[in-house]
Amino acid sequence: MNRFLTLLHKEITELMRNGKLIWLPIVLMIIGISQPLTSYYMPQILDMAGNLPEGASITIPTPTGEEVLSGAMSQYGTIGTLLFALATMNVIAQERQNGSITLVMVRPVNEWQYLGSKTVAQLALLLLSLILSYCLTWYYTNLLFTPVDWQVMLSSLVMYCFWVIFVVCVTIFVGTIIRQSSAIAGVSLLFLALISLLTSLLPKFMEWSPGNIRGEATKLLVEQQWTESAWTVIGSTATLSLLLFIAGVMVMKKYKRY
Amino acid sequence: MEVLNDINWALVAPLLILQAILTISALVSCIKQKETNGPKWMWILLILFVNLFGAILYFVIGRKNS
Repeated sequence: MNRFLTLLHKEITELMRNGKLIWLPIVLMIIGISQPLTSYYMPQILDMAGNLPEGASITIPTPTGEEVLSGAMSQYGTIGTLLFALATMNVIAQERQNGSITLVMVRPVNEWQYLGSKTVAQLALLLLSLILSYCLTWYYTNLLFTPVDWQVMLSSLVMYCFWVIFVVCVTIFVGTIIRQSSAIAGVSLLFLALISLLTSLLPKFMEWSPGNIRGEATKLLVEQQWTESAWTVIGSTATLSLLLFIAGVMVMKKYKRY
Repeated sequence: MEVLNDINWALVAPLLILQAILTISALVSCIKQKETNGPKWMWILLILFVNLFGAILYFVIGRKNS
């Protein structure tokens, strides 16, 4: 346990040193806040963009707070997922490239502690940024649109956190197999995209799929109740993430050379 | 530009501040860095003129890990 804490400490220093601790929360907050703001200023933006024929009138219904929050969700789903994968792709690849992984592993550290410290540090940073960003977005939504109940907000946030956990576990697992960081991001994003595609193509067979998380979170926002299917999706995502983590440790144990 | 007066700047200000923090921290980090992937002046231009994504790209691929 003590060694794990030491490794975790090292990971957090690393996060500070490469600036991830600054840019990730800020970028997520910018993405989050811009959603309610652009929805609010949509008429002015259309006005500025011009090119409308004289006398044309467009009436845009004002979205409810829940709709704006689910819009922010879909932003996290696209740009956010890309950022999460980009932010985590380097964690193992970088240490393998500059050889410091060998220095760590010759000490009495086992693979569980090593991979665990990496996963926990990344998850802490990503989840913290997501929570910050989502709370700010919620605040703006309450200010500019209809207020959203905080319990609804919180449960959709918790739901969405599982997607982040899944993304991190996939990226770290791919990171134990592949050496090159750009390839890691590419393969994991491809895998996530494939899951989302399969989920939308075969909705009957993929009810458990992690790709459903965003849909479930949106449903939670709109219908305001926690359904049975939400539990299935959360359960399967948590299990899959755990399996991916264990698989990553197994792959690392097989290394002949780091 | 009367549209500019319609905008409630108290609402937009946090967005601009966040943007400024991001740009400045990326710039400082870039200038302090001994070597970057690719020419340094290119990264400075990217950070300054490509909104949001310039700084992200710099942090993700621009830094050379020593």
